[in-house]
Amino acid sequence: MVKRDGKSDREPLFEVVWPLGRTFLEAPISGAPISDLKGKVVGALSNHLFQFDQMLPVINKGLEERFPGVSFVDHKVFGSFHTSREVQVFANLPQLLRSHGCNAVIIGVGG
Amino acid sequence: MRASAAAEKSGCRAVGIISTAFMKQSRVIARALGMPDLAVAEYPGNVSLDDEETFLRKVEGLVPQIVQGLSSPNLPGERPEEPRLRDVVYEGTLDEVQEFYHSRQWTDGLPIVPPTAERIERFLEFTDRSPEERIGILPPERREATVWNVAVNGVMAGCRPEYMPILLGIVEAIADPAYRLEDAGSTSGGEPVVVLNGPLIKELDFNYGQGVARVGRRANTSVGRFLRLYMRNVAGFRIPPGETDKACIGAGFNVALAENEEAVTALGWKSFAAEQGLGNGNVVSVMNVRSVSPPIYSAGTAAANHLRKFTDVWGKGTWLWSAYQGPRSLKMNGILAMPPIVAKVIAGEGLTKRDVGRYLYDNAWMTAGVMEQSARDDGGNTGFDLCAFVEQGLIPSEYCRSHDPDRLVRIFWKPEELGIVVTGDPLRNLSRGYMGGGKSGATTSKEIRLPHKWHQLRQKPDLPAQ
Repeated sequence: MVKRDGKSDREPLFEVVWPLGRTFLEAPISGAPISDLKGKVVGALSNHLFQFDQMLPVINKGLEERFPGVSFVDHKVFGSFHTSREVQVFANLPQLLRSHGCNAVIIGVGG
Repeated sequence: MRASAAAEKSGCRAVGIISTAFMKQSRVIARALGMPDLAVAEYPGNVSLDDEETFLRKVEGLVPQIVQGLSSPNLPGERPEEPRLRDVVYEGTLDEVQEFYHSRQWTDGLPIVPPTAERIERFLEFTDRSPEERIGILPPERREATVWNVAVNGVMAGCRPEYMPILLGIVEAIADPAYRLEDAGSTSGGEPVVVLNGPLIKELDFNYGQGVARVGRRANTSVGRFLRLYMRNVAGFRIPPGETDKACIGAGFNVALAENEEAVTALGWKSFAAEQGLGNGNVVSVMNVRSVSPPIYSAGTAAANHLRKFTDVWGKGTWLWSAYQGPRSLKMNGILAMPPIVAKVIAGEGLTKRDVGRYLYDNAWMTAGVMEQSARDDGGNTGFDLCAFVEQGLIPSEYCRSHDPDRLVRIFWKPEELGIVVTGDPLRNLSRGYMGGGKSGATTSKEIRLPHKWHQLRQKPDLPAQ
């Protein structure tokens, strides 16, 4: 508890509590890091905002130049997660990523 | 970041592209998801304002960041040390408490009522629920919403203890996944509005007449303030120096609205709550408000005069500019606040609230080209294509009768998503339209549960609440 600094003794003092709530952390599960995309499959997940559909071909070309043999799965396969179907899109995601053999996902765009 | 977490949980490494203005928020959300090291690639600046050459250069700059992000480990976060429920975190005078809370961003910029254990216990008398009961985990900071911290923030907002059942209903509404509280910190800066129905309106002296949306009446004002304070403190939406509320301009808290239920009954209409499917008891509803229309003055003895005015001012004047939210989000609520004298003209011709919604839906039209351009202006939504959405089976075929940008499409998304609250000065002819936020903050209604000793508690001597 933080105590007051010793100001006026004539004013009432208030003992007050924390107004926030305890943080609830999930145990994280995550994919393994990938340093070499040769022969790997990269998917894309889009919220259909901020010109991600125009970014993706440029990004994919850049990755191909660095890692010949990388292949891509278009964002349309997974659906936009910026609609009221976000829950469904995320629910379908594991199976779709598996069925397309994805090792990595590029997600756009937060902004 | 939620998308990144979903991909990571599927076993795939993920990198999210985030523009500069949202980098800090992304870190807060990543920490709250338990994955503080979720990889991001920063798009510098604002993509909507870059020319083609600049855009290309910046996108090429994302590639090395993506490669770096995919190859970095994603380490788990640590649980922070946090006070327990009843821990006293500070002792001080009124002024000292204000400075202490303000320095920690625990206020809304206004003085708060010090939340002492005694004041909180008075609120807890007005619920049968345990203080430790968890109502939900609220995004973006993923903190527990509990009966206890509802009471704490209710005290702070200046509510009376007997408002506690309403406050609990409000938090149940925003904790409902259908409400999508996680979108509440977006650029559009929408502000939720509370609508109250049921006998509590009169019992607790809520205003439902003149100046209903204005500060001044304690019940309406403090309950409205509570919601924004709770969203700051427990959900974690804070403007700078906070990091998670990205409203470009934003809006202040909305005073809670209450419906004039005597007038509704006299008109033979259903209450707002009943139209939401929740009957005539005490119900609280919450909807995110993206914009409020100009004053809608309507006159005349024919319903058509009023309906046309609603269509012109609310539909074509205001809603039109965000109408793309309907086809994009597949949801777009709205609330028309209508004074009794106007409602009487409409009901007098045998029309119901649903008929009003239907009229708006059938008579408010815009060109497809303007809708698509508006979507593109909001967040560079270059993928917004009505005909493509029709082809994908996402929206009705009427949105693509041709590819002509001058073809007409509906402004309102679904008639049943337009609600009416009869409220305001009973003798004035001014209505106001509250436009929702698409999928974000969809109208969510909850029954209010009173404690079994409610009547006994209400008969206690009327102590000053604060």
